Amino acid sequence: MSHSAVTILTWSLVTGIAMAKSTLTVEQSIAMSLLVYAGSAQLAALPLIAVGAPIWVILTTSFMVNLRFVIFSLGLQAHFYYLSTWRRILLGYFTTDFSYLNHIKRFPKPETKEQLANDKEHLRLYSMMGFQTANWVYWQVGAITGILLASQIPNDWGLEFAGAVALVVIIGPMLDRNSARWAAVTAGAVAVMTYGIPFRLNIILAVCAALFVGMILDKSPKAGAIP
Amino acid sequence: MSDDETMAMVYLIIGMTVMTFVARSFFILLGNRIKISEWGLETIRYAPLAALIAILAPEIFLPVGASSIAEFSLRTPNIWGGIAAMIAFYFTKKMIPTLVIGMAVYTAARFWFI
Repeated sequence: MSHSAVTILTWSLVTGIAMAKSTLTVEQSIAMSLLVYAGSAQLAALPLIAVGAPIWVILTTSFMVNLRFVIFSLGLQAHFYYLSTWRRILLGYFTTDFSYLNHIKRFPKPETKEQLANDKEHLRLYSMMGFQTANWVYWQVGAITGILLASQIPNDWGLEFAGAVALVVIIGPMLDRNSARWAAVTAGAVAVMTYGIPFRLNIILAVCAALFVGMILDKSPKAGAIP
Repeated sequence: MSDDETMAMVYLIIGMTVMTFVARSFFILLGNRIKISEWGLETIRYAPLAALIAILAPEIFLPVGASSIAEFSLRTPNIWGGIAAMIAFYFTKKMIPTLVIGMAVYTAARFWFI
């Protein structure tokens, strides 16, 4: 299995267990996993649901946690602007951290008009849909397994930490140059320092700070910025 | 759970699903009405990296269930497990050794710090 697959399975399993151990029922947990399909937003919502926070607070938090996808959607637009409205909406919905990451790694630059005209088989679109399908299947298998087996798994195994360790393996190879390393250090420091702020806004603050640092340090990026 | 609470959960799940749709298809929805400059695309190239780190860093450097940086403590097992995982990855570049060493140090640190 690829590193992405292992990491997705670990995070989804942890997310599934967290949902099942929260105030949600099994049916609600499975419905949330299948429909919402945004692990970090789900995890941020659980403690809010448990304390009975108003629905607008939970929805605002969901959107704020998802703000990073708004930035990804800019990159997606450059690659897939030519599709029909429905295909664009669906392509957007299924674009997770991992499918976007893998797509940009494989195709750092959008196709030019000529390349697009010659690409009769829509190789890039089907490549992306392949990443998305694999991501969706791995996520739901892990999440639903976690939901159903949660009562069998003791709290003190520390399984939730395995997701963090697996993510280290994904991030490591991306730190192949100084600008990326400084962007990463910035993102980490900002995310930790501002962790307590409302609506989990620390994520988007960290992303913006890292983009700023990356932009300043990497005036002449090589082709294929993300290895 | 009462009927009211059940309905509230149904609305919440629908609402969160809409939030996923809105956030993820935000700019792609505009189709060919906008054209992002090469500069713009270069600026966001570290966005996926930064997003993963923004999710990961608090999991490693803050205690489980912490609500802010004020709860930072070196007696947090996550920190030592995380650092061990980073060192293991640096030398092996492989998933399994990183997972085994990271989890082993994390587990040892949890017993150490009790």
